[in-house]
Amino acid sequence: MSAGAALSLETLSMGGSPLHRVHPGVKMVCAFALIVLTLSFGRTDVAAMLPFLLYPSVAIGITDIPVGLLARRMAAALPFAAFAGISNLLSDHAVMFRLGGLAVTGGMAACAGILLRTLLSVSYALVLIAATPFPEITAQMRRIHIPGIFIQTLEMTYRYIGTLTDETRGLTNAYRLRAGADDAGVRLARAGSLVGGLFLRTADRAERILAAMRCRGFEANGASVGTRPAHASDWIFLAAVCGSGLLLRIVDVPALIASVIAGMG
Amino acid sequence: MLTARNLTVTYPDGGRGVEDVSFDIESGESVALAGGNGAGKTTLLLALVGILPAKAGSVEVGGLRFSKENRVEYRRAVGLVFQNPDDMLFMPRALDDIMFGPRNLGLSETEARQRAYEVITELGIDHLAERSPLKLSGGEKRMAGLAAVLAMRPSALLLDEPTAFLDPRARRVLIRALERLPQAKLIATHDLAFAGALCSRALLLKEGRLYADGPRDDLFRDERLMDECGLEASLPIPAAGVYWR
Repeated sequence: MSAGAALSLETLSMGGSPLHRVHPGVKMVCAFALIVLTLSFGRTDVAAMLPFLLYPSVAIGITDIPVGLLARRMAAALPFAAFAGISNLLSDHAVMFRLGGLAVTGGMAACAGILLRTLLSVSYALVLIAATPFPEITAQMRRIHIPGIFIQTLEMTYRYIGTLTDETRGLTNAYRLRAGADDAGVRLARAGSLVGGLFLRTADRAERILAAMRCRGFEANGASVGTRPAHASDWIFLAAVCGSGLLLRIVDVPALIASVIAGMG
Repeated sequence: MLTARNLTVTYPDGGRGVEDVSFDIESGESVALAGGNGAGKTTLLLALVGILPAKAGSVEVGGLRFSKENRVEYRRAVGLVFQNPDDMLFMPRALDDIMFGPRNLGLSETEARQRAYEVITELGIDHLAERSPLKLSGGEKRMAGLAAVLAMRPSALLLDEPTAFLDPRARRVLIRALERLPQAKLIATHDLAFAGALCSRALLLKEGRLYADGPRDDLFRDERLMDECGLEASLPIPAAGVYWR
């Protein structure tokens, strides 16, 4: 994830939509449950997974998260899934069914299944991040006793991304202003010292940030944000999302619709 | 009261930080800490909050002597405003940054919020609370950083080059805010006019040692002394409290 996008998601996370107002712990449980349900589908159950697109679609509608931003973030994850999917294309040639004139093989269905699973899982995670301030996510992680070292690493990495972006911007601007006609990018011959300098600067800055945190009582084991109790509306949200997800996992809605249409014909 | 006794700090590489520095700052007193670049001002401030460990000597506030065991209690009592406010602001909203300290002190969400809003109201920066620190101007960041420290309710306040990055108007706003604060203040600065507006006493550092400690006017107007400390005495020094008018 680029730092610029991280900052955009961070800005979005401060919104005030109904989804933003849901208890962060509830949103995390919902995202986790949806990921588990999505991953539990068989490798070629593409159609059965389609109704799960409803969740990110509704969330995007409620929160006004720019679809383009989410698409760009998803695009970063999809190439990895595509690589995994392509191997299925090569290994499974058995024809499953015909779609018009196209013979759909098991490999093609498995490839589509991997891509859809990735798309859905990443979209749940991105919606969670875009609708929940990061400190609230880590506060909830502490609450459910996820090991502190993991959370601290996550927090520090998150903050380090911002620091790294700032320093990179300053350094590359200074470089380009003195690079003459060669200002389109950093030349490879100079990249080594520039990257080395960048890491030294960010390490230095990160130390100052940590010092500022310690001056204000940070001891690397406490939550830096408080947590509010879940209200009845949060529990209703949890029940609605997880209950409907479970139902959609058990009942193959597209197959049901197809059979109803076939019955009518 | 903020006290340093024979304070000596060396860097891990053996480099000199500060050496044998002693002074007392009374409650409510504002003291300027001046010295040329590399004189040890920032090092001294970091040592006074226990971020840099003392090789020898001690620091204490209100009778509480810094030790590794009582560092949280000690840092509640001594607040440090960093030179670069970006180092202090790392949460999504300015309000979260101001609540960061109180939350770490174990206050409830309601108490932390209440305390943050008290400080925000006091400093007149209510409009910044919900904004991202990334979007604040230099002066606004400085005020948010100051609020973040004041929310800890410190009895002594250390400020490192508080006028760095500030335009004249933001500087005036900061002076007004600092004038109203009752804490003991140690202000490290090159900006002698700013120091003159707030402080009646000054400490001059040279090569990590306390070179002079005395009334601001006596020190700042002594050209030879200032020159020896890598400073310039030619600036007009206004009487305390009149700078911004």
